[in-house]
Amino acid sequence: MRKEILRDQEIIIAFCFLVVAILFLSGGRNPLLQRGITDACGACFFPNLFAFSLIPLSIATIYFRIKAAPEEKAGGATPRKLVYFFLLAALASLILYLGGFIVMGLVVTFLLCRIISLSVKESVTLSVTLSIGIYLLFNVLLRVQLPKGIFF
Amino acid sequence: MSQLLAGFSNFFTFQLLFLSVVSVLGGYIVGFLPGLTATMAVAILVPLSFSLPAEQGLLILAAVFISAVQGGSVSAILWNTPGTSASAALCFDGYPMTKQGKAGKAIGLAQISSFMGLMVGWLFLVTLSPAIAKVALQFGAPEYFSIAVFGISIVAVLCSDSPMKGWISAFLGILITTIGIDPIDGVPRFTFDTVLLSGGISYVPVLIGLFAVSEVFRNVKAMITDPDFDKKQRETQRITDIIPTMKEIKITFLNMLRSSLIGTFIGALPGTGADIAAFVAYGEAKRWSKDKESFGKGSIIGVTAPQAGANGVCGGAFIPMLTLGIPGDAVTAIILGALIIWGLQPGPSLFLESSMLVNTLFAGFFVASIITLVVGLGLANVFVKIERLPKKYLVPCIFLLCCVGSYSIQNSIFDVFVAMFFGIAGYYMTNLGYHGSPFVLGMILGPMVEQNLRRSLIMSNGDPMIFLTRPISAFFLGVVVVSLAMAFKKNITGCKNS
Repeated sequence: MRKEILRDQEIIIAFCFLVVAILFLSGGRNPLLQRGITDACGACFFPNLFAFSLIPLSIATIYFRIKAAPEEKAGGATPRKLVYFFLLAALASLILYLGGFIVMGLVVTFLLCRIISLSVKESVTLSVTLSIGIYLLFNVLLRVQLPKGIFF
Repeated sequence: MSQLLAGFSNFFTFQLLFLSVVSVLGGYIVGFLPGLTATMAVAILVPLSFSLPAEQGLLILAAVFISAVQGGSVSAILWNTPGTSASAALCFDGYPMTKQGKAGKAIGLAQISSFMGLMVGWLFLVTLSPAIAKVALQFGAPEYFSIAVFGISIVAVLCSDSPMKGWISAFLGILITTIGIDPIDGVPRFTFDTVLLSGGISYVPVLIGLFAVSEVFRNVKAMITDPDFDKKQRETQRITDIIPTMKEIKITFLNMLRSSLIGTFIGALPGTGADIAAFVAYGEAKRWSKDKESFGKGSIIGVTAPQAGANGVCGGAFIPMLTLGIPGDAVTAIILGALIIWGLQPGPSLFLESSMLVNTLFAGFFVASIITLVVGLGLANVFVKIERLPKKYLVPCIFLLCCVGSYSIQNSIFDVFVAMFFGIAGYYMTNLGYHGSPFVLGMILGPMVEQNLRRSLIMSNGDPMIFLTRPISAFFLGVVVVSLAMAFKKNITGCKNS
């Protein structure tokens, strides 16, 4: 039973909200924020108000979730390939920083295509076409400076 | 009236018409692409417009402003990717319509409602500018605070099925906006002493993450778990009639009118914008609708309301700018700067000293709105065909556009990370019944609530009665209390019945 509760995604996410609220409350203890310079409230009043309100709501969500019948449990398992894609998405900004837009586009699009089971030929064609096409559209036509990477 | 007609006759030259068409097309494409906003397009065009006479330059800026807001609706409907922040509210019902194979209808309705919003805004701009500007000037910090609280109270209506989750989402959205430099005291808050967080978290990458990236994740999951997903999708999607039927127009007409009026009024209030208007219009449409259950599932009223509201802002934002020299939103602030560089002083004297210029601008606004409608309806078929491409090719394209879109707002790689983070968070939150709409509402209205709450308290030396002693503020707070009480009562009755 305890294992089931710990694995329930809804309880995990409500617990995350609780942690977020506590983080904001602890950040609000900064003396610089508590002393109002121009107004009586101070800079921490507003975030503290909502962080305090978030705590009972998160606890109530966890409580109702534990009380709920087992068949009501929501949120299925995340497929392993999707977890790989999450990791790839999280790494995208790092690749963008290191290699620039073209490299990021080629690598991320190719791996994404492989995750969704496209053939190698299709993956290569799509990643090259998309990366260069979007680069030309934004960088050349619309003059949006895309990152070039620290190695280039 | 005769001056307006003179403005129209001055406008109808080949050069001005050609410039309008090109600007509308350009603005439409900029709005369509995620991450490129109307503000950005107008800012880029300002230096170019100085090489032209004032009336031509002004017309280009106005046409781009109008069409970019409208272009943002298409990507929101087709891919759940708001092209501009003003289109975020359109995702709630526009994308479900696309999933039902009604993308063409949704785009058609969005174009018609945008046109309605633009026309109502234009009418008020031409006829009632000075009177509206006078009312807008009565609004001080307490009134702005009350309006923002009123906007946030829409959460009770938006999430009537799971109010607790709705409020959690809204509070999280508000908390996220408090990261960065405090707007009143100027001290850093919750930045972990990093430069990256000192500028705060921009809401466009969050929007892209919550709506578009999380949708990419859902599609990838569907493709992984069901190899025939793409085939099934194409079987169920049809190009429906793009032009809405008379019956649909009849159903949505009053709602479009109300939303356009809301948009025009909010646009006339300095410091607001199309995103706020779209959310308030959507919330009010749901509040007044007899069929609240259909919202979020592809309701046609849910498509027309935010779009009419967002476009009503275009006309409304010009009112304080031209009559008082106070910009209604970020775009009109840029246009105001351009006017001053052209040697024109916005304010009551502008109508006397440069009457022809102002009336040509009014005529250009009107004609650009019609061109935008024609372009929007004309391109709808092309956009729907793009949407019918196999998902296995579209998903990588949307993902890359999300990366570029979130980067190009501030040329920041950190914003790409933010979009990805909120994409993963949005994926789980949506799966577990936490809507993205209250989160975004909290992010957009949170800073307005905080800044005006604190400004009001500074004005009153800490006395909170300032919110109740000013009639407009007291009125809006009264409406908030009544609507929250009604929503609470409805929930209690629902719980007892079930």
